[in-house]
Amino acid sequence: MRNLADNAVAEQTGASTRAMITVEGVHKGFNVRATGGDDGGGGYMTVLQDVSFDVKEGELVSLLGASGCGKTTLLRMAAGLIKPDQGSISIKGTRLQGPRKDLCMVFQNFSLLPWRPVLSNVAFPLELDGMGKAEREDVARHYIEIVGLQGFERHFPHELSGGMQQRVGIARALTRKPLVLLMDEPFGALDAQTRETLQEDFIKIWAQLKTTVVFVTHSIDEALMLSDRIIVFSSRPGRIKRTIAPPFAALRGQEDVRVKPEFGSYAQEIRDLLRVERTP
Amino acid sequence: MNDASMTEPRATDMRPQEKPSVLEWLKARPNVLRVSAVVIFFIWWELVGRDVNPLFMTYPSAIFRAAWIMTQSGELPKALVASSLPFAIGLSISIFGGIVIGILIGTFWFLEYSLDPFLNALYAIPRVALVPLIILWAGLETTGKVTIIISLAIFPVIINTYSGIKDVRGSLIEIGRAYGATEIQIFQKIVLPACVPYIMAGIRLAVGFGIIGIIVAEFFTAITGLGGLIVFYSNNFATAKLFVPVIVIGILGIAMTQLVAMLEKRLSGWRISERERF
Repeated sequence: MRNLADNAVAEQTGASTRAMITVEGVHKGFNVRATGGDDGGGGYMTVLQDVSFDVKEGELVSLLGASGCGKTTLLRMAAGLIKPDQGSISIKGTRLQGPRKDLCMVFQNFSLLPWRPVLSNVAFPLELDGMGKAEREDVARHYIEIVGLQGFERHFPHELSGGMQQRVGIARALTRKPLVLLMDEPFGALDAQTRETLQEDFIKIWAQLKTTVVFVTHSIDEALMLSDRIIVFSSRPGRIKRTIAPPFAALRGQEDVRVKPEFGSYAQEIRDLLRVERTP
Repeated sequence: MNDASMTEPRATDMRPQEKPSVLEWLKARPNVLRVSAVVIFFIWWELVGRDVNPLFMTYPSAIFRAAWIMTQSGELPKALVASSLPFAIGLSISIFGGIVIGILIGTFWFLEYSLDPFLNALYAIPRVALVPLIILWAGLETTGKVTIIISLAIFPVIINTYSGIKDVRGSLIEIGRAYGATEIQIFQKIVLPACVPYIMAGIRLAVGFGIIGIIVAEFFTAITGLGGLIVFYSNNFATAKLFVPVIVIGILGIAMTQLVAMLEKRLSGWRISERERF
Protein backbone atom coordinates (compact mmCIF):
# COMPACT_ATOMS: atom_id res chain seq x y z
CA MET A 1 0.00 0.00 0.00
CA ARG A 2 2.63 2.45 1.08
CA ASN A 3 4.71 1.60 -1.93
CA LEU A 4 1.83 2.19 -4.28
CA ALA A 5 1.08 5.57 -2.75
CA ASP A 6 4.72 6.57 -3.05
CA ASN A 7 4.73 5.53 -6.64
CA ALA A 8 1.66 7.58 -7.32
CA VAL A 9 3.28 10.65 -5.80
CA ALA A 10 6.43 10.07 -7.80
CA GLU A 11 4.42 9.76 -10.96
CA GLN A 12 2.50 12.90 -10.24
CA THR A 13 5.56 15.00 -9.60
CA GLY A 14 7.16 13.52 -12.66
CA ALA A 15 4.20 14.59 -14.72
CA SER A 16 4.08 18.08 -13.31
CA THR A 17 7.72 18.78 -14.12
CA ARG A 18 7.16 17.72 -17.70
CA ALA A 19 4.11 19.90 -17.97
CA MET A 20 4.78 23.61 -18.30
CA ILE A 21 1.19 24.67 -17.79
CA THR A 22 -1.44 22.63 -16.02
CA VAL A 23 -5.04 23.76 -16.28
CA GLU A 24 -7.27 21.84 -13.90
CA GLY A 25 -11.06 21.98 -13.70
CA VAL A 26 -11.29 25.65 -14.59
CA HIS A 27 -14.69 27.30 -14.42
CA LYS A 28 -15.32 30.92 -15.23
CA GLY A 29 -18.46 32.97 -15.53
CA PHE A 30 -19.43 36.59 -15.70
CA ASN A 31 -22.42 38.58 -14.54
CA VAL A 32 -24.08 39.99 -17.59
CA ARG A 33 -26.47 42.88 -17.88
CA ALA A 34 -30.15 42.07 -17.46
CA THR A 35 -31.16 43.71 -20.74
CA GLY A 36 -30.76 41.99 -24.07
CA GLY A 37 -28.94 38.74 -24.57
CA ASP A 38 -30.17 35.82 -26.59
CA ASP A 39 -30.47 33.45 -23.64
CA GLY A 40 -33.45 35.18 -22.12
CA GLY A 41 -32.16 38.10 -20.12
CA GLY A 42 -29.24 38.71 -17.85
CA GLY A 43 -27.77 36.97 -14.87
CA TYR A 44 -24.81 34.70 -14.78
CA MET A 45 -23.21 33.44 -17.96
CA THR A 46 -20.82 30.53 -17.85
CA VAL A 47 -17.92 31.19 -20.16
CA LEU A 48 -15.72 28.21 -19.40
CA GLN A 49 -16.85 24.93 -17.94
CA ASP A 50 -14.60 22.28 -16.48
CA VAL A 51 -11.57 22.92 -18.64
CA SER A 52 -8.52 20.75 -17.98
CA PHE A 53 -5.44 20.27 -20.11
CA ASP A 54 -1.74 20.69 -19.93
CA VAL A 55 0.92 22.12 -22.16
CA LYS A 56 4.29 20.45 -22.22
CA GLU A 57 7.56 22.29 -22.19
CA GLY A 58 8.50 23.53 -25.65
CA GLU A 59 5.10 22.70 -27.08
CA LEU A 60 3.02 25.00 -29.27
CA VAL A 61 -0.62 24.52 -28.38
CA SER A 62 -3.50 26.31 -30.06
CA LEU A 63 -6.80 27.08 -28.40
CA LEU A 64 -9.27 27.05 -31.26
CA GLY A 65 -12.90 28.04 -31.18
CA ALA A 66 -15.52 30.44 -32.41
CA SER A 67 -15.67 33.89 -30.85
CA GLY A 68 -17.31 33.79 -27.46
CA CYS A 69 -16.00 30.35 -26.58
CA GLY A 70 -13.90 31.74 -23.77
CA LYS A 71 -10.52 31.02 -25.30
CA THR A 72 -9.28 34.57 -24.78
CA THR A 73 -10.65 34.49 -21.24
CA LEU A 74 -8.66 31.32 -20.67
CA LEU A 75 -5.52 32.97 -22.02
CA ARG A 76 -6.03 35.98 -19.78
CA MET A 77 -6.36 33.58 -16.86
CA ALA A 78 -3.14 31.87 -17.88
CA ALA A 79 -1.53 35.33 -17.92
CA GLY A 80 -2.73 35.86 -14.36
CA LEU A 81 -4.83 38.87 -15.39
CA ILE A 82 -8.07 37.30 -14.16
CA LYS A 83 -8.71 34.46 -11.75
CA PRO A 84 -10.73 31.34 -12.42
CA ASP A 85 -13.91 30.94 -10.34
CA GLN A 86 -13.03 27.32 -9.73
CA GLY A 87 -10.07 25.15 -10.54
CA SER A 88 -6.49 26.19 -10.91
CA ILE A 89 -3.76 27.00 -13.38
CA SER A 90 -0.21 26.04 -12.50
CA ILE A 91 3.09 26.86 -14.11
CA LYS A 92 5.68 24.12 -13.58
CA GLY A 93 3.65 22.89 -10.65
CA THR A 94 3.34 26.30 -8.97
CA ARG A 95 -0.17 27.61 -8.71
CA LEU A 96 -0.65 30.89 -10.57
CA GLN A 97 -1.68 33.79 -8.29
CA GLY A 98 -1.29 36.80 -10.57
CA PRO A 99 0.76 38.06 -13.50
CA ARG A 100 4.22 36.49 -13.64
CA LYS A 101 7.16 38.08 -15.33
CA ASP A 102 8.10 34.89 -17.14
CA LEU A 103 4.74 34.62 -18.92
CA CYS A 104 4.69 37.13 -21.74
CA MET A 105 1.72 38.18 -23.75
CA VAL A 106 1.33 39.10 -27.41
CA PHE A 107 -1.90 41.02 -27.89
CA GLN A 108 -4.37 40.88 -30.73
CA ASN A 109 -4.42 44.66 -31.22
CA PHE A 110 -0.61 44.88 -30.86
CA SER A 111 -0.95 47.15 -27.79
CA LEU A 112 2.22 49.13 -28.21
CA LEU A 113 2.83 52.34 -26.29
CA PRO A 114 2.22 54.95 -29.01
CA TRP A 115 4.58 57.57 -27.54
CA ARG A 116 7.55 55.23 -27.51
CA PRO A 117 9.70 54.38 -30.49
CA VAL A 118 10.21 50.71 -31.39
CA LEU A 119 13.39 50.33 -29.35
CA SER A 120 11.92 51.47 -26.06
CA ASN A 121 8.66 49.63 -26.71
CA VAL A 122 10.62 46.40 -27.05
CA ALA A 123 12.74 47.23 -24.01
CA PHE A 124 9.65 48.07 -21.94
CA PRO A 125 9.41 44.78 -19.98
CA LEU A 126 13.10 44.99 -19.07
CA GLU A 127 12.64 48.61 -18.05
CA LEU A 128 9.94 47.42 -15.63
CA ASP A 129 12.46 44.91 -14.27
CA GLY A 130 14.84 47.76 -13.50
CA MET A 131 17.51 46.81 -16.04
CA GLY A 132 19.88 49.62 -17.03
CA LYS A 133 19.20 51.56 -20.21
CA ALA A 134 22.24 50.48 -22.21
CA GLU A 135 21.84 46.84 -21.28
CA ARG A 136 18.13 46.60 -21.98
CA GLU A 137 18.52 48.39 -25.29
CA ASP A 138 21.16 45.88 -26.32
CA VAL A 139 18.77 43.03 -25.56
CA ALA A 140 15.97 44.86 -27.35
CA ARG A 141 18.14 45.38 -30.44
CA HIS A 142 18.88 41.67 -30.52
CA TYR A 143 15.18 40.78 -30.60
CA ILE A 144 14.35 43.56 -33.03
CA GLU A 145 16.83 41.90 -35.36
CA ILE A 146 15.28 38.48 -34.76
CA VAL A 147 11.84 39.73 -35.81
CA GLY A 148 13.40 41.45 -38.82
CA LEU A 149 12.89 45.08 -37.87
CA GLN A 150 16.47 46.32 -37.74
CA GLY A 151 16.62 49.89 -38.98
CA PHE A 152 13.21 50.71 -37.48
CA GLU A 153 14.40 51.21 -33.89
CA ARG A 154 13.60 54.93 -33.91
CA HIS A 155 10.23 54.62 -35.64
CA PHE A 156 7.02 55.20 -33.74
CA PRO A 157 4.27 52.58 -33.84
CA HIS A 158 2.00 54.76 -35.97
CA GLU A 159 4.72 54.92 -38.59
CA LEU A 160 4.65 51.12 -38.98
CA SER A 161 2.22 48.82 -40.75
CA GLY A 162 0.09 46.43 -38.72
CA GLY A 163 2.37 43.50 -39.47
CA MET A 164 5.42 45.45 -38.37
CA GLN A 165 3.65 46.55 -35.21
CA GLN A 166 2.94 42.96 -34.32
CA ARG A 167 6.60 42.10 -34.93
CA VAL A 168 7.37 44.72 -32.31
CA GLY A 169 4.80 43.06 -30.04
CA ILE A 170 6.50 39.69 -30.50
CA ALA A 171 9.97 41.13 -29.91
CA ARG A 172 8.73 42.80 -26.74
CA ALA A 173 7.33 39.52 -25.44
CA LEU A 174 10.61 37.72 -26.16
CA THR A 175 12.94 40.14 -24.35
CA ARG A 176 12.36 38.48 -21.01
CA LYS A 177 13.11 35.04 -22.44
CA PRO A 178 9.74 33.92 -21.12
CA LEU A 179 8.90 30.38 -20.05
CA VAL A 180 5.63 30.71 -21.90
CA LEU A 181 4.56 32.95 -24.73
CA LEU A 182 0.83 33.68 -24.57
CA MET A 183 -0.52 34.82 -27.91
CA ASP A 184 -4.04 36.19 -28.21
CA GLU A 185 -5.07 35.94 -31.87
CA PRO A 186 -1.82 37.70 -32.70
CA PHE A 187 -2.36 37.70 -36.46
CA GLY A 188 -6.14 38.09 -36.39
CA ALA A 189 -6.09 41.82 -37.10
CA LEU A 190 -3.83 41.53 -40.16
CA ASP A 191 -4.70 41.17 -43.82
CA ALA A 192 -4.31 37.73 -45.35
CA GLN A 193 -0.92 38.26 -47.03
CA THR A 194 0.68 39.90 -44.01
CA ARG A 195 -0.75 37.18 -41.79
CA GLU A 196 0.90 34.46 -43.85
CA THR A 197 4.27 36.16 -43.82
CA LEU A 198 4.06 36.64 -40.09
CA GLN A 199 3.00 33.04 -39.51
CA GLU A 200 5.98 31.79 -41.48
CA ASP A 201 8.39 34.15 -39.78
CA PHE A 202 6.96 33.36 -36.38
CA ILE A 203 7.54 29.65 -36.94
CA LYS A 204 11.16 30.35 -37.84
CA ILE A 205 11.64 32.46 -34.72
CA TRP A 206 9.93 29.84 -32.60
CA ALA A 207 12.12 27.09 -34.06
CA GLN A 208 15.17 29.02 -32.84
CA LEU A 209 13.88 29.73 -29.36
CA LYS A 210 11.71 26.68 -28.60
CA THR A 211 9.62 28.56 -26.07
CA THR A 212 6.37 27.05 -24.88
CA VAL A 213 3.54 28.79 -26.71
CA VAL A 214 -0.18 28.99 -26.06
CA PHE A 215 -1.78 30.39 -29.15
CA VAL A 216 -5.39 31.53 -29.30
CA THR A 217 -6.93 31.58 -32.75
CA HIS A 218 -10.20 31.19 -34.57
CA SER A 219 -8.52 30.24 -37.84
CA ILE A 220 -8.51 26.49 -38.50
CA ASP A 221 -5.73 26.79 -41.09
CA GLU A 222 -3.57 28.79 -38.76
CA ALA A 223 -4.01 26.28 -35.96
CA LEU A 224 -3.20 23.35 -38.27
CA MET A 225 -0.13 25.03 -39.71
CA LEU A 226 1.42 26.12 -36.44
CA SER A 227 0.47 23.76 -33.65
CA ASP A 228 1.78 20.63 -32.06
CA ARG A 229 -1.65 20.21 -30.59
CA ILE A 230 -4.98 21.92 -31.14
CA ILE A 231 -7.52 22.15 -28.35
CA VAL A 232 -10.92 22.67 -29.95
CA PHE A 233 -13.46 24.52 -27.82
CA SER A 234 -17.22 24.51 -28.00
CA SER A 235 -19.10 27.75 -27.47
CA ARG A 236 -21.20 28.97 -24.57
CA PRO A 237 -20.19 27.52 -22.29
CA GLY A 238 -16.66 26.90 -23.50
CA ARG A 239 -15.73 23.28 -23.04
CA ILE A 240 -12.96 21.25 -24.57
CA LYS A 241 -14.45 19.39 -27.46
CA ARG A 242 -11.44 17.50 -28.65
CA THR A 243 -7.69 17.66 -28.69
CA ILE A 244 -6.07 17.09 -32.04
CA ALA A 245 -2.40 16.55 -32.77
CA PRO A 246 -1.96 17.40 -36.45
CA PRO A 247 0.85 15.50 -38.18
CA PHE A 248 2.27 18.60 -39.84
CA ALA A 249 4.33 19.74 -36.87
CA ALA A 250 7.55 18.26 -38.25
CA LEU A 251 7.14 20.08 -41.58
CA ARG A 252 6.50 23.49 -40.10
CA GLY A 253 8.49 26.21 -41.76
CA GLN A 254 9.81 23.91 -44.47
CA GLU A 255 6.93 23.52 -46.84
CA ASP A 256 3.40 24.70 -47.27
CA VAL A 257 1.45 22.04 -45.39
CA ARG A 258 -1.84 23.36 -46.68
CA VAL A 259 -1.38 21.60 -50.01
CA LYS A 260 -1.13 18.19 -48.34
CA PRO A 261 -4.22 16.05 -48.83
CA GLU A 262 -4.45 15.24 -45.11
CA PHE A 263 -4.57 18.95 -44.37
CA GLY A 264 -7.96 19.20 -45.99
CA SER A 265 -9.39 16.28 -44.08
CA TYR A 266 -8.09 17.62 -40.77
CA ALA A 267 -9.53 21.03 -41.55
CA GLN A 268 -12.84 19.44 -42.47
CA GLU A 269 -12.88 17.45 -39.25
CA ILE A 270 -12.37 20.57 -37.17
CA ARG A 271 -14.90 22.50 -39.21
CA ASP A 272 -17.45 19.76 -38.50
CA LEU A 273 -16.58 19.83 -34.80
CA LEU A 274 -17.20 23.56 -34.68
CA ARG A 275 -20.35 23.31 -36.78
CA VAL A 276 -22.14 20.60 -34.80
CA GLU A 277 -22.97 22.90 -31.96
CA ARG A 278 -24.33 25.65 -34.15
CA THR A 279 -27.46 23.63 -34.88
CA PRO A 280 -29.71 24.21 -31.90
CA MET B 1 -1.70 41.58 -70.05
CA ASN B 2 -5.17 42.77 -69.32
CA ASP B 3 -3.83 45.33 -66.95
CA ALA B 4 -1.47 46.75 -69.53
CA SER B 5 -4.16 47.15 -72.16
CA MET B 6 -6.38 48.84 -69.63
CA THR B 7 -3.85 51.39 -68.54
CA GLU B 8 -2.68 52.15 -72.05
CA PRO B 9 -5.47 54.49 -73.19
CA ARG B 10 -5.38 56.29 -69.86
CA ALA B 11 -1.74 57.10 -70.38
CA THR B 12 -2.40 58.61 -73.80
CA ASP B 13 -5.35 60.56 -72.41
CA MET B 14 -3.09 62.36 -70.04
CA ARG B 15 -2.54 65.87 -71.28
CA PRO B 16 0.82 67.52 -70.90
CA GLN B 17 0.90 69.59 -67.72
CA GLU B 18 -0.31 73.11 -68.37
CA LYS B 19 1.82 75.99 -67.18
CA PRO B 20 0.74 76.67 -63.58
CA SER B 21 -1.42 79.78 -63.32
CA VAL B 22 -0.68 82.67 -60.97
CA LEU B 23 -3.42 81.52 -58.62
CA GLU B 24 -1.93 78.05 -58.31
CA TRP B 25 1.46 79.59 -57.69
CA LEU B 26 -0.06 81.63 -54.86
CA LYS B 27 -1.95 78.68 -53.46
CA ALA B 28 1.28 76.78 -53.07
CA ARG B 29 2.84 79.71 -51.17
CA PRO B 30 0.38 80.79 -48.48
CA ASN B 31 2.90 83.08 -46.80
CA VAL B 32 3.13 85.33 -49.84
CA LEU B 33 -0.56 86.05 -49.60
CA ARG B 34 -0.50 86.39 -45.82
CA VAL B 35 2.30 88.94 -45.81
CA SER B 36 0.84 90.90 -48.75
CA ALA B 37 -2.57 91.06 -47.10
CA VAL B 38 -1.08 92.45 -43.89
CA VAL B 39 1.07 94.98 -45.77
CA ILE B 40 -1.90 96.15 -47.85
CA PHE B 41 -4.02 96.42 -44.71
CA PHE B 42 -1.44 98.63 -43.01
CA ILE B 43 -1.04 100.88 -46.05
CA TRP B 44 -4.81 101.25 -46.29
CA TRP B 45 -5.04 101.95 -42.55
CA GLU B 46 -2.26 104.55 -42.78
CA LEU B 47 -4.01 106.35 -45.66
CA VAL B 48 -7.55 106.23 -44.30
CA GLY B 49 -6.62 106.61 -40.62
CA ARG B 50 -5.12 110.06 -41.17
CA ASP B 51 -8.51 111.43 -42.24
CA VAL B 52 -10.41 110.22 -39.17
CA ASN B 53 -10.75 112.29 -36.02
CA PRO B 54 -7.70 111.28 -33.88
CA LEU B 55 -10.00 111.03 -30.83
CA PHE B 56 -11.58 107.90 -32.28
CA MET B 57 -9.05 106.37 -34.56
CA THR B 58 -5.37 106.46 -35.26
CA TYR B 59 -2.96 105.15 -37.89
CA PRO B 60 0.14 102.91 -37.86
CA SER B 61 2.85 105.56 -38.02
CA ALA B 62 1.24 107.44 -35.12
CA ILE B 63 1.12 104.23 -33.08
CA PHE B 64 4.75 103.57 -33.92
CA ARG B 65 5.71 107.08 -32.83
CA ALA B 66 3.71 106.66 -29.60
CA ALA B 67 5.43 103.33 -28.93
CA TRP B 68 8.82 104.98 -29.37
CA ILE B 69 7.95 107.79 -26.97
CA MET B 70 6.53 105.37 -24.39
CA THR B 71 9.59 103.14 -24.63
CA GLN B 72 11.96 106.09 -24.30
CA SER B 73 10.15 107.37 -21.23
CA GLY B 74 10.35 103.92 -19.64
CA GLU B 75 6.60 103.78 -19.33
CA LEU B 76 6.10 100.78 -21.62
CA PRO B 77 8.94 98.60 -20.24
CA LYS B 78 7.75 99.31 -16.70
CA ALA B 79 4.19 98.33 -17.57
CA LEU B 80 5.44 95.23 -19.35
CA VAL B 81 7.35 94.07 -16.28
CA ALA B 82 4.43 94.93 -14.01
CA SER B 83 2.19 92.68 -16.12
CA SER B 84 4.68 89.92 -16.93
CA LEU B 85 5.66 89.07 -13.40
CA PRO B 86 2.17 88.30 -12.08
CA PHE B 87 1.38 86.63 -15.41
CA ALA B 88 4.38 84.31 -15.10
CA ILE B 89 3.64 83.50 -11.45
CA GLY B 90 -0.08 83.01 -12.05
CA LEU B 91 0.41 80.85 -15.10
CA SER B 92 3.05 78.66 -13.43
CA ILE B 93 0.83 78.07 -10.40
CA SER B 94 -2.13 77.35 -12.69
CA ILE B 95 -0.16 74.81 -14.72
CA PHE B 96 1.48 72.98 -11.82
CA GLY B 97 -1.50 73.22 -9.51
CA GLY B 98 -3.88 72.27 -12.30
CA ILE B 99 -1.86 69.18 -13.22
CA VAL B 100 -1.58 68.07 -9.59
CA ILE B 101 -5.28 68.62 -8.84
CA GLY B 102 -6.25 66.98 -12.14
CA ILE B 103 -4.13 63.92 -11.38
CA LEU B 104 -5.47 63.68 -7.83
CA ILE B 105 -9.15 63.87 -8.76
CA GLY B 106 -8.54 61.62 -11.78
CA THR B 107 -6.88 58.97 -9.63
CA PHE B 108 -8.73 58.98 -6.30
CA TRP B 109 -12.49 58.61 -6.46
CA PHE B 110 -12.81 60.04 -2.96
CA LEU B 111 -11.33 63.36 -4.04
CA GLU B 112 -13.15 63.26 -7.34
CA TYR B 113 -16.58 62.97 -5.76
CA SER B 114 -15.94 65.41 -2.95
CA LEU B 115 -14.32 68.16 -5.05
CA ASP B 116 -16.61 67.73 -8.05
CA PRO B 117 -19.39 70.10 -6.89
CA PHE B 118 -16.95 72.89 -6.06
CA LEU B 119 -15.06 72.62 -9.32
CA ASN B 120 -18.28 72.55 -11.30
CA ALA B 121 -19.68 75.54 -9.45
CA LEU B 122 -16.49 77.56 -9.89
CA TYR B 123 -16.28 76.60 -13.52
CA ALA B 124 -19.90 77.52 -14.16
CA ILE B 125 -19.68 80.99 -12.56
CA PRO B 126 -18.11 83.49 -14.99
CA ARG B 127 -14.88 84.10 -13.12
CA VAL B 128 -14.97 87.79 -14.05
CA ALA B 129 -17.91 88.03 -11.68
CA LEU B 130 -15.59 87.06 -8.85
CA VAL B 131 -12.93 89.66 -9.66
CA PRO B 132 -14.25 92.38 -7.30
CA LEU B 133 -14.37 89.82 -4.51
CA ILE B 134 -10.84 88.62 -5.23
CA ILE B 135 -9.59 92.22 -5.20
CA LEU B 136 -11.35 92.73 -1.89
CA TRP B 137 -9.52 89.75 -0.43
CA ALA B 138 -6.18 89.78 -2.20
CA GLY B 139 -5.69 93.45 -2.93
CA LEU B 140 -4.78 95.41 -6.05
CA GLU B 141 -1.16 94.43 -6.36
CA THR B 142 0.65 91.27 -7.43
CA THR B 143 -1.26 88.91 -5.13
CA GLY B 144 -4.58 90.13 -6.49
CA LYS B 145 -3.46 89.88 -10.11
CA VAL B 146 -2.00 86.40 -9.58
CA THR B 147 -5.19 85.21 -7.91
CA ILE B 148 -7.34 86.51 -10.77
CA ILE B 149 -5.10 84.79 -13.34
CA ILE B 150 -5.25 81.50 -11.44
CA SER B 151 -9.02 81.73 -11.11
CA LEU B 152 -9.23 81.79 -14.91
CA ALA B 153 -6.29 79.67 -16.06
CA ILE B 154 -6.28 76.74 -13.65
CA PHE B 155 -9.56 75.20 -14.78
CA PRO B 156 -8.64 74.15 -18.31
CA VAL B 157 -5.51 72.48 -16.91
CA ILE B 158 -7.46 70.65 -14.18
CA ILE B 159 -10.20 69.53 -16.52
CA ASN B 160 -7.89 68.41 -19.30
CA THR B 161 -5.56 66.52 -16.99
CA TYR B 162 -8.54 64.86 -15.33
CA SER B 163 -10.13 63.76 -18.60
CA GLY B 164 -6.71 62.62 -19.82
CA ILE B 165 -6.41 60.26 -16.86
CA LYS B 166 -9.98 59.05 -17.28
CA ASP B 167 -9.49 58.46 -21.01
CA VAL B 168 -6.38 56.28 -20.80
CA ARG B 169 -7.39 53.21 -22.73
CA GLY B 170 -7.83 50.07 -20.66
CA SER B 171 -5.81 48.18 -23.25
CA LEU B 172 -2.78 50.37 -22.51
CA ILE B 173 -3.03 49.70 -18.79
CA GLU B 174 -3.43 46.02 -19.52
CA ILE B 175 0.02 46.01 -21.17
CA GLY B 176 1.44 47.13 -17.85
CA ARG B 177 -0.53 44.53 -15.88
CA ALA B 178 0.36 41.70 -18.25
CA TYR B 179 4.04 42.56 -17.96
CA GLY B 180 3.87 42.72 -14.18
CA ALA B 181 4.23 46.47 -13.71
CA THR B 182 3.58 47.86 -10.23
CA GLU B 183 0.81 50.43 -9.78
CA ILE B 184 3.41 53.18 -9.57
CA GLN B 185 5.08 51.97 -12.78
CA ILE B 186 1.72 51.87 -14.52
CA PHE B 187 1.10 55.46 -13.46
CA GLN B 188 4.60 56.68 -14.38
CA LYS B 189 5.14 54.82 -17.59
CA ILE B 190 1.64 54.46 -19.01
CA VAL B 191 -0.99 56.76 -17.50
CA LEU B 192 1.12 59.91 -17.28
CA PRO B 193 2.66 59.78 -20.78
CA ALA B 194 -0.76 58.95 -22.21
CA CYS B 195 -2.07 62.15 -20.57
CA VAL B 196 0.59 64.48 -21.95
CA PRO B 197 -1.38 65.50 -25.06
CA TYR B 198 -4.38 66.37 -22.87
CA ILE B 199 -2.23 68.31 -20.43
CA MET B 200 -0.60 70.25 -23.27
CA ALA B 201 -4.01 71.16 -24.67
CA GLY B 202 -4.95 72.39 -21.19
CA ILE B 203 -1.80 74.50 -21.02
CA ARG B 204 -2.52 76.02 -24.41
CA LEU B 205 -5.94 77.13 -23.16
CA ALA B 206 -4.45 78.30 -19.87
CA VAL B 207 -2.08 80.68 -21.70
CA GLY B 208 -5.02 82.32 -23.45
CA PHE B 209 -7.02 82.58 -20.24
CA GLY B 210 -3.97 83.86 -18.39
CA ILE B 211 -3.58 86.77 -20.83
CA ILE B 212 -7.26 87.61 -20.44
CA GLY B 213 -6.80 87.29 -16.69
CA ILE B 214 -3.93 89.75 -16.40
CA ILE B 215 -5.67 92.38 -18.51
CA VAL B 216 -8.98 92.01 -16.68
CA ALA B 217 -7.12 92.27 -13.39
CA GLU B 218 -5.40 95.46 -14.49
CA PHE B 219 -8.62 96.95 -15.81
CA PHE B 220 -10.09 96.62 -12.36
CA THR B 221 -7.03 97.75 -10.48
CA ALA B 222 -6.16 100.29 -13.19
CA ILE B 223 -2.91 101.35 -11.64
CA THR B 224 -0.10 99.41 -13.23
CA GLY B 225 0.72 97.18 -16.15
CA LEU B 226 -0.40 97.03 -19.76
CA GLY B 227 -4.05 96.83 -18.79
CA GLY B 228 -3.57 99.94 -16.65
CA LEU B 229 -2.10 101.77 -19.64
CA ILE B 230 -5.10 100.86 -21.77
CA VAL B 231 -7.54 102.22 -19.21
CA PHE B 232 -5.43 105.35 -18.62
CA TYR B 233 -5.03 106.34 -22.27
CA SER B 234 -8.58 105.48 -23.16
CA ASN B 235 -9.76 107.82 -20.40
CA ASN B 236 -7.49 110.49 -21.90
CA PHE B 237 -8.62 109.86 -25.49
CA ALA B 238 -4.97 109.24 -26.47
CA THR B 239 -5.94 106.67 -29.07
CA ALA B 240 -2.48 106.16 -30.57
CA LYS B 241 -1.00 105.43 -27.15
CA LEU B 242 -3.95 103.21 -26.30
CA PHE B 243 -3.08 101.01 -29.25
CA VAL B 244 0.49 100.42 -28.09
CA PRO B 245 -0.27 98.10 -25.14
CA VAL B 246 -2.99 96.39 -27.17
CA ILE B 247 -0.48 95.51 -29.88
CA VAL B 248 2.16 94.48 -27.35
CA ILE B 249 -0.37 92.11 -25.75
CA GLY B 250 -1.22 90.74 -29.19
CA ILE B 251 2.42 90.05 -29.97
CA LEU B 252 2.98 88.47 -26.55
CA GLY B 253 -0.08 86.29 -27.01
CA ILE B 254 1.09 85.06 -30.40
CA ALA B 255 4.60 84.39 -29.09
CA MET B 256 3.31 82.43 -26.08
CA THR B 257 0.91 80.40 -28.19
CA GLN B 258 3.67 79.56 -30.66
CA LEU B 259 5.93 78.53 -27.81
CA VAL B 260 3.30 76.21 -26.37
CA ALA B 261 2.53 74.83 -29.85
CA MET B 262 6.22 74.05 -30.30
CA LEU B 263 6.37 72.36 -26.92
CA GLU B 264 3.19 70.46 -27.72
CA LYS B 265 4.61 69.20 -30.98
CA ARG B 266 7.75 68.05 -29.21
CA LEU B 267 6.03 66.31 -26.34
CA SER B 268 2.96 64.90 -28.01
CA GLY B 269 3.92 64.73 -31.65
CA TRP B 270 3.07 61.03 -31.61
CA ARG B 271 -0.52 61.89 -30.88
CA ILE B 272 -0.79 64.43 -33.68
CA SER B 273 0.68 62.15 -36.31
CA GLU B 274 -1.32 59.22 -34.98
CA ARG B 275 -4.47 61.25 -35.52
CA GLU B 276 -3.44 62.19 -39.03
CA ARG B 277 -3.03 58.55 -39.87
CA PHE B 278 -6.26 57.16 -38.49
